[in-house]
Amino acid sequence: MKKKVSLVLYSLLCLGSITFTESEGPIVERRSKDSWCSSESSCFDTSQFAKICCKRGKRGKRGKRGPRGVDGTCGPGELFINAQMMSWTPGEFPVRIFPPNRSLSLPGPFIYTWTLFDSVTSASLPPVGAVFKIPVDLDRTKPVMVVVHFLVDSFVDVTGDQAKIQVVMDYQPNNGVLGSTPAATGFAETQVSADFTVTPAVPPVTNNVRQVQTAEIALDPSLIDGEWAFIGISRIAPAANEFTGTLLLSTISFQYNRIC
Amino acid sequence: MKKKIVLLLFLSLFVTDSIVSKSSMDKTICCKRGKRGYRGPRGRQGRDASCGLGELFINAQMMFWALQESFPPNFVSDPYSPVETFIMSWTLVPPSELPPIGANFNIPIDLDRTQPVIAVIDILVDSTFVMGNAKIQVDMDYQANNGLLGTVFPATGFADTQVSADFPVMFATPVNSDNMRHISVPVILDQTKIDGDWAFIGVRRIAAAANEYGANLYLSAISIQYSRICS
Repeated sequence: MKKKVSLVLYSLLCLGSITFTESEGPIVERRSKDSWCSSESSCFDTSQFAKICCKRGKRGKRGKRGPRGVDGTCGPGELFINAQMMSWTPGEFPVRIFPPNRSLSLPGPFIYTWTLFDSVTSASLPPVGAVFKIPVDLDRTKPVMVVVHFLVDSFVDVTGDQAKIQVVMDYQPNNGVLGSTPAATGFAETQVSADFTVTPAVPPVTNNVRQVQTAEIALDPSLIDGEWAFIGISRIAPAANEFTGTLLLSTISFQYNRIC
Repeated sequence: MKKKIVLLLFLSLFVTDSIVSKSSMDKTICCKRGKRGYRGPRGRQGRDASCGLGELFINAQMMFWALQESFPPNFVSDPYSPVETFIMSWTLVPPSELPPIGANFNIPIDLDRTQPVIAVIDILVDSTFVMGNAKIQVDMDYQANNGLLGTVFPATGFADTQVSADFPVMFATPVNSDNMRHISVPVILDQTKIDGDWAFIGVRRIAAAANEYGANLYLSAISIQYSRICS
């Protein structure tokens, strides 16, 4: 008898459990924001229920301090050298030409420049040079560039449209010895430009001139030792189709990043 | 035995039922998550870029000398032979009454007149076997718009005269080669005398305290180094 009673109770419990589980969804339905009902007459208020057992959790911890802002930068710096600040020796010592050997009239005031012949003629000629000072605010860990500016006349008796430049540099600290006799070591570095396009000024055979500049020629900042510097500019052969006319060297721009 | 099993099953079913019921309650009405914490404070501002240093330079072609009737600079060196690229400079003879080598320039617009200003004189020395000490005098003049420069009253001559410390001069090596030695000599200027935008600098040799270097020096470049203002 007890066994039977136990089995009946167990069956009833199972049945009840299944019924409760199945009816969880459809029987209990939301009537309003805080009111849930299992039947028409049996509703309960969850807002009251929440007040009792469901306090909102504590506010989270304050976030971490934001990252430090980006430091200000010093920006780029530049010095320039114009033709009057350069020198050239197109012959045997003591023959030298100064002021710059080519003046252009546009018409109006003359513009001084230095002649750079094509690479074949230039091979036997020294570079056009200038002495300058390494700027005190030059960052020797960042790129240093040289940009060379030329004027091109309107002569038509030329072929080719490509040119290339070689830049020689020397840097000397206080008490440094410059020269090419050992223990002096000659130029500190030699760099070349990319080939660049040159076309005569228009209209042909006029006083007009065209301004042409090289792309930035990167120097090796790690070689900059000291504050006295020499720069020399000469033409070398481009890969093909060399411009056979003269380039007229007008200015040299020395571009760098500043320290501060 | 069977009784016990039935009871056990009953109990387990009861417990399971309670859990199911509780979790379903949780789903329905349990506690809201706490609000997100306040936003953290703004990070510190990055360091400002300071204005740093500035410099202008004057090379030999930008200078002149009263006794030089011709132009260009009166000394040319050829240190990089066989590359015949010449370096121009001005001769600084041993101390004498000769006028200084001069140059005009503009006071940089970003020069901070409350901070030190230094003229650095770059000198080349040839390889003649001579050693000794040398000293440099720097004469400065500054003129504002409408300023009067000169020595005839009411003009007042140079605004500032400064001298370098004695410095040793050693010949370039090897002796009698084309090599040149570079020496830089700093001279501190009086920035309080800087009045106006136009400036003149004159450089000459004066007697060292002892053991004067008896040969020529060659003035290659001058730089004016200063602190920048940037506002």
